[in-house]
Amino acid sequence: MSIDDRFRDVDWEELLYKLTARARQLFAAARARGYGNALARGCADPDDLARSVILAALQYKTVRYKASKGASLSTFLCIVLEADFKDLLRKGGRLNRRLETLDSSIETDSPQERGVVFDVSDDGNGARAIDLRAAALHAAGGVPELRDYVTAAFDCGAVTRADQALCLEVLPSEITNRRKKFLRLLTPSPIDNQNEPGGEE
Amino acid sequence: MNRDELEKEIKQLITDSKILFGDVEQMDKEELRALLDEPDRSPEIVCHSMWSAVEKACTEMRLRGEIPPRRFTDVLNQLRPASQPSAHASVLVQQAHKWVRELLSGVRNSSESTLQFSFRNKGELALEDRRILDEAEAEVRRKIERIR
Repeated sequence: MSIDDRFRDVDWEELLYKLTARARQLFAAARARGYGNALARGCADPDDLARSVILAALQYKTVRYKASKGASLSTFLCIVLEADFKDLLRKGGRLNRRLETLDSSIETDSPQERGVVFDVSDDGNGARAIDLRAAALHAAGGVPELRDYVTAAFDCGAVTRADQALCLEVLPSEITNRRKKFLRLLTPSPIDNQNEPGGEE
Repeated sequence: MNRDELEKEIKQLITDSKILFGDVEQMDKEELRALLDEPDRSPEIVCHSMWSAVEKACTEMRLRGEIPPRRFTDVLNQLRPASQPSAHASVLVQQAHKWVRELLSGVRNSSESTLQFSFRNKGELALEDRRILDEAEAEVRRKIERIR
């Protein structure tokens, strides 16, 4: 089977949407859990990360998809994306250690730059391991529909959109709206995120 | 936090993100489009950026004297923006078929949509802003009711 045959009949538009959505989800979750500075140091954007995974799959050098292994192309590339995302977080941590080595006078307690998310400290002391469920509930504030959604997803075991819609007695499209709201709430704006979870303190 | 703990943290983060935002593997194209539809990062912009990146890779291949493999041209044809028509007749026909298919697939039922604000920090709005927004929201609702 030639390489081109492995990519026959792929809906590239859908694949791109899946990877971009997954990358945005991962970035939002990481920022909510306090890894915002590590991501910022990695100088990466979720959409760029998704594009780089697809380009690597097309070039077939570092990322080699083989249908015979059993996974679909989108499943395989989502796993690659998650692995790249992990590397990005680790790289962010390494860069911070290097900065501290170069300048030992860095005041770690100094206020964060505006728009930069509070970070997990690299020595582990004072790390803020925020549970994503707690961060989501905090972001939901007093909006009952969003709090209900978090409860359905994390506490009632309703993982699929259909299950969540059934659990909350709403249309499935409403579940998509609520997911989108959380993506927005947990993705800080560079200008006005001071009161957002994971934002400047 | 040692390395093992960090790895565990990241693994948990990946799992939790899937629970909170949904599994993209279970989403269809319409749902994905709805999820990605942001004012400055719409699905069209996402496609255009990908198309530009693949186009650049193909240009580099041609400059090296190589012919881009079919998978690259497939991506270009599928993601080609309307503002960048192809020079090849077969690609133009393929694109025309795609547009017709999208036109005939109809529009989403407005009852499935829920009005939502496209800006942040609506809690910080002034009373006047709130009044204007309420009026606008009521007007949109009236229009939707009239369409129904």
